[in-house]
Amino acid sequence: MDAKVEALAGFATRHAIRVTVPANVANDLTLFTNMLKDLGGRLGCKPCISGSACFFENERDFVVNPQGKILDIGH
Amino acid sequence: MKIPELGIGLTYHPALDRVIEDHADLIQVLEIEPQTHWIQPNPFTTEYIIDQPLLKRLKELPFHKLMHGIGFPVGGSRLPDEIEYPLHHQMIKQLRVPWMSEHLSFNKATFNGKEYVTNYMLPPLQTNEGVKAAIKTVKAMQWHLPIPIAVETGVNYLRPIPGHISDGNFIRQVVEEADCGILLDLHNIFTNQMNGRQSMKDFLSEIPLERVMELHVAGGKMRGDYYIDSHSGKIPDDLFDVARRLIPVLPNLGAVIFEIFPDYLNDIGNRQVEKDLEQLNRIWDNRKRKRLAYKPVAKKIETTIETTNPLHTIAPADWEDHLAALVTRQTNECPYKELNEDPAIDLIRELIESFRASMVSESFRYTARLLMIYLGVEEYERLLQDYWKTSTPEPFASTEGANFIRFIKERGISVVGLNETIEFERGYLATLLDGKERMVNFPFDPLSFLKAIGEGRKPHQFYEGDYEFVIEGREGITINKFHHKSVVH
Repeated sequence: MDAKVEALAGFATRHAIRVTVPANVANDLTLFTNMLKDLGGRLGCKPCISGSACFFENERDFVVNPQGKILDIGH
Repeated sequence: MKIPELGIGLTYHPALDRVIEDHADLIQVLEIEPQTHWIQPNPFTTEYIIDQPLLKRLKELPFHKLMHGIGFPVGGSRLPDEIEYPLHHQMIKQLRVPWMSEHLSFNKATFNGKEYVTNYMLPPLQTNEGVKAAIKTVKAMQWHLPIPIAVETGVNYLRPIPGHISDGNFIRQVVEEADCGILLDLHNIFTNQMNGRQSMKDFLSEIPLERVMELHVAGGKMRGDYYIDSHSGKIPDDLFDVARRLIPVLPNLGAVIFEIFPDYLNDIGNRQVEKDLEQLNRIWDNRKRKRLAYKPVAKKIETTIETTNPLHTIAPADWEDHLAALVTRQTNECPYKELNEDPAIDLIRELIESFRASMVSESFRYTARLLMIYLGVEEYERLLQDYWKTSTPEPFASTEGANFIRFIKERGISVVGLNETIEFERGYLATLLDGKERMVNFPFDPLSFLKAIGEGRKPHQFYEGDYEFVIEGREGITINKFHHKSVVH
């Protein structure tokens, strides 16, 4: 997949570039490498619990460095 | 009420597949939470489908299966939604479920004439009227389902209200009159004890132990001044001590389920899960060798004590509406001082919002990350705070996500690639459901852009061009739909 990304980089054309991806891997945030195993688990109800969910906390921690700053400033 | 003795098990979630595979020799039963395997294809209608590939996989797993409802609580005055019964029937039949359980809590309320779900199990009104309401609701569920029902002893973070029935006696009155079983959640009553409600000892002396069909055990953690039922750690030693004493004397116990919240699996660790399962298996085996006689103890039925407290005479539906409105931030104040001043209200708000934020991130992961990256985490969290005030919680992540997307569209937020990312995520979710190919236009290379977002950073460069990002269709899963006549929104 990385090779595909590089091949596309900077490839400007007057014709539309068609990029395809299977729906069942499109959710994977490490560039579509793992299969999406459980649709209900993602879109259904959360498991039974009277505590807290930490999925968002994990996501929030992922995009900030230990000083609480957003990772990497692009151009 | 004779039920089969199944043994030790885990709550099932696909994220626990590896754990289940690794410790298959220590597991005899899996407990399925049915609603976690349902999908709401259209967020604006109450129409649900079962994730059939997953159901097929569950059928093939070589364990007994139980069902533990999470959307159907029976402790309040609102009856369960009848739309859910056919799905329950299908799962009960296909998985050959011998009994199922539900919470003796409530999750529905009305605010300004609109009924909504709190998406969180809230404690029922523990008065004589509350007992009557819960009995009626339990009986309605029993009438609709073909297998025995056990009601779960819930967590209650609120302070005890003077004059109300104790936790154990409330359970006792409901289950004896409704003639149903008990799912005794040891970690829930441990949590209640830790937070200053009834002690485990007193609670266990008040409930009819011969009705206990199932036990739940779990680990929790501190959050501020509260111990919370987070299913996030090893089973506490004190809980094992109680389990060791209790399991050999429960005459109708069918299963002991170790509850693990998948998000915390890494914190708990595979080895710790194994240790706890081994210990539970030893206790279960000991029960088979040395079963002790159980003598039911006749208990005096406690009723509410007359006080001048208006929460003594409140109707169950009013209790539900006021408590739900407070914890979902529909209002900051209700007519009842005890509720307004209870510090647990803030705790429950935070817990509900942790679920809502997680559901938004789970259903629209790239969009949520894009917003955090470009707006900053603090601004994104402010956005969520504003969103909570405009929309009540939703039980399905897909609907919570769709409502959030509608909210940010109405806000007119300007972030590079936002519209394309939203359309991409909408597209692949729809394609997963119906198998149809979809295309999203991008004015820059979508792969390098999404790669950056996936890595939690801004793209180093936008490679401009006319891109057609095609989501390939395959076999969809839109089968066995169950429709409901009303529309949610």
